[in-house]
Formats: sequence, structure tokens, C-alpha cells
Amino acid sequence: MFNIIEIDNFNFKNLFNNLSLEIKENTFYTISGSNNCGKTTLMKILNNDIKGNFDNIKIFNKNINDFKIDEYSKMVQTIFPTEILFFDNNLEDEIFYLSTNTKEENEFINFLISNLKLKKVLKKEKTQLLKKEKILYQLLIALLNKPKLLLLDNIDKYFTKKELDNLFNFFKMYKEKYGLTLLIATINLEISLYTDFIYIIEQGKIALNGTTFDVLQKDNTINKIGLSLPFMIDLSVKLRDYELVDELETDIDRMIDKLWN
Amino acid sequence: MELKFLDYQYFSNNINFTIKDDAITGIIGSDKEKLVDIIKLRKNYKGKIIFNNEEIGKENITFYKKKITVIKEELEYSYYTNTIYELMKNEIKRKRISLKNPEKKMLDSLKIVSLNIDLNRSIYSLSTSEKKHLQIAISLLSNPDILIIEEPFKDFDIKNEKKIILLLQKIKEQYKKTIIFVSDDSTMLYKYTNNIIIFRNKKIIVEGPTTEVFKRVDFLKRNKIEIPKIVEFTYLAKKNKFIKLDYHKDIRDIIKDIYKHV
Repeated sequence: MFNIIEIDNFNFKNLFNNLSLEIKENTFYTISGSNNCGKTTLMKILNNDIKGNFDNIKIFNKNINDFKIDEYSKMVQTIFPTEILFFDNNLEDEIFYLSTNTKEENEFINFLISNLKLKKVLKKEKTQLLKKEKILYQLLIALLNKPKLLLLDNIDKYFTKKELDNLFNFFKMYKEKYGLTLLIATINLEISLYTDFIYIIEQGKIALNGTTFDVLQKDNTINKIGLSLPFMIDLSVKLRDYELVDELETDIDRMIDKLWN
Repeated sequence: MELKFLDYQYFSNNINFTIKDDAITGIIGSDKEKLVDIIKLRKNYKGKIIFNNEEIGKENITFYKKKITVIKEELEYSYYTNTIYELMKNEIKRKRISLKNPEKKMLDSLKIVSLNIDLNRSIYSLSTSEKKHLQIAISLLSNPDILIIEEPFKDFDIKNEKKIILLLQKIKEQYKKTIIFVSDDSTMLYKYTNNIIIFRNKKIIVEGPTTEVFKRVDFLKRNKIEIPKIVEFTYLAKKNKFIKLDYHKDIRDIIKDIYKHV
């Protein structure tokens, strides 16, 4: 599988110290770590917002410094909830302005509107939008480019669990149809249950990385870093230490069956 | 401190509830922001509002409104406020807070929240945790009785979450402030609050001690309230396997309980 992102011993100010990571195509990743570990800064660097001599960062096998702005934005899109801008009061007009208005693209836009449940939202004025509606709208605009890499910075805190379930089901479906690599930066390890791999940053380096379930079992390290495990993972790991269960279980009903069968 | 709402008319509903300073109250539900508006004392209303045995009326509502402050989920500042001093000064101006020595009050507020930083420090240089501490310090400038805090712990790791809750408990105990959390996060509310109010469809669905309210799992699900997993586990163990675990707030306690029953 092709590496979309390769970061090799990256140093940046006092924040990153020999940070290395690889992101494979068509895979979903969580980037986590305690407050101020650099998650958002990493997202900004990968979004090409922060400029520097970043020779050790390759995107699609090319040095990140060597991309032109329009070239990069076709491949990489990022959602920063704190930086959502609107250029038009009317959202539908803004979409029309940004689209090429071909039959194919209109169908794609309708597909996005339907699956992101934006039909009613698009009728609102921008001042009436809830934060999560702004994020979903920004997601629609980002996906118009059909980017290969989508970066999400701390968007989960604006959605309920059910809304996140729907959103990640959409991302999975979108990935099957169009191909998508997703990185979500978050402090909330519940989100990692939607992704395949996790990277956890601590003191400028990658402290833990691997598949979601492999990493989440390292409860002591995760707690020392200052993160909370998802409840069922935490429960599973502790019950396994007491030899009451053999393996991790994320489903409550199945766990109860295993304990009292 | 006790704030009572009696037969308060909200659309076609009669609302009755009490906020006391001896408990941390949580507010959850699809209309929770509307209940916050009610607590902030709206100008025109029908019904009775009693603050510490004194009924609030048109003549004194402005006086009582100043006793209630809301701490938003995120620190809000404009392009023109760069420093902590400027932000606090704006708050003093906005709320028309009368102070003999505003700078001393600013420093005292920062001291209460253990934020040992210069007033001329740029807001943009503050960490997530420092911003939350600053929000609390700003809220204390007007010396309110009631602090309504929206989503107090979103974005925090364990260490910073503990810091914030300890600070708020100190503010509650030492400075006698009433604390209300407003959140969609039922897990957090279950963990940290003593009383809970669920506001949905423009009415109070239920009000009571947090643990008792969250035990009503089927009722909460019907009202689209997410159940904390630690509660759901206990509930399903009893429902599916007749195993009577206690309703715990800490995972370590539920593990001990499970061990006894396996």
C-alpha cells in the first residue's frame, strides 16, 4: 500500500523532536496526544499553512515544499472548526460559485448534500448555522475537490455519538466509492474506534502507534500520557488483567454474555 | 443560595425547578440552551422567580441578572483584544462593573484561578487549559453568585480535566458560588454533577439526583439522552442476566463489583 504521507525525523521549534510517521492510502488514522502536544500544529503543517524548510515531509512522494497552492488543495483538504469562512450569505449560491456546474458534478454535490444531511442546512443564513452545521458544510466544500487526503482537526467535540456514527459511516462509504485517506486529530480516544490506526504524540515524538486495538491495550502508557481510554476498552483491559475475559470487547452485550454465560 | 422557578410559563408549559449552591447541577437535553436563557432571567415572563426567599420582579430583575454569568464553551475575543488586560477591561466595560481598583480585581481573579501570568500576556499565546482558567477568571470579575459553564471539559486531557474540576470545586466551597454545567456529554455530567435537569421539547422532562435520574435508562433513551456506558453496563447486566451491580461513577469500583459477581 502506497504511503501518502511520510514524515522522517521531523524537528519543529520546541514542539516536535524527531517525529516520524507514515500514512497509507485509503486508511483512517487518529492522531492523538495530551493538550498542547502539537496535534493542530501538525495538521497546519500538513495543510501547508505553516511554511518552513520541511525536507523530511513527503506528500504523495513529493517534498511538501514543492507543491503549488492549487495543486496541493486538489489533493489535501483540511477542516479547522475555528477557521471556517463563508464568502456568500447564501450557501447554495456559494456552492454554485465553487462548482463547475457539470451534470456529473451536480450529481456528486447532491450525493454529498444527501449523505451529509445538509438539505435543510443549505436553506439557512450563515449566521443561523450551528457549529456542527458549519463543519458539515465546510466538509461538503472540501470534498468538491475530491481530495485524496482529508485532515480533520478536533471536529468530534461538536457532534453527538449518533452524529459521529453517521459521519464515519459516510466516510467509509465515500472511501469505497472514491478513495479517501483520513486523519483526525483529537484528544478523545473514543474516536479512534472509528479509525484503523492511531498515532499518539508525546514530548515531540510518536509515543505509541499501530492498529487501534493494539495501541488501546497499552492502558498504562495511555493513562500516563494523560488520555482516557474508551470505557469498554478500559473495562476489557482491566477485566483481562483479572483473567475474567480473554480479549478486548467493545460491545456491552457481548461483554456481559462473556462474563455471565 | 437558592434560585426557584415556580409555575414559570414557557410556551404552553409550566416549569418548576430549583437551583441550590450545595450541589453542582447539570443541564442536558435538546433544548438545554433555552433553559439557560430562562435561568439568566429573561425580561418578560409569567410566573414566580425567587432568589434566596426574595421574589424577583421588574424593579429588581436587573440587579439579579448580574448575579448570574455564563462561561461559554470557547473563549471569545475580537481582533482588537490582544492581551488579557484588554479582554478583562472589555468585560468590565460591557457589564458596567463598578470597581475602585479594576487592575487589582483583575489580578485577584487570576490569582483565584491560579493563573500566574502577566496581564499584558497575549491571549493567542495561551494554552487550551490557560484559556479555560482565564474564562473562569473573567467570569469572577462581576462577582456573580451563579456560574453557568457550557461544556466545561471538552478538549481536555485527564490532567487538565482534574485541574478544572478542582478549581470549580474550590470556587464552589471557598467562594460560595453555585455551579451549573451545561453539556451534551452525559458521561461527564454523570461523573461530576450531583443534580441533573433534562430540558427537552420546551419542558423539564426530569429533575433530580444525578445517579437516580441516570438509572432510568429506558426513559432517557426514549428522550434521546445518551446513557453513560458505565451506567448502561450495570443496567444491562441486571436486565439480561439478573446480576445486581451497584451504579458506580468510577470504573475501578465497577470492576470490583463485577469480580464479586463472577
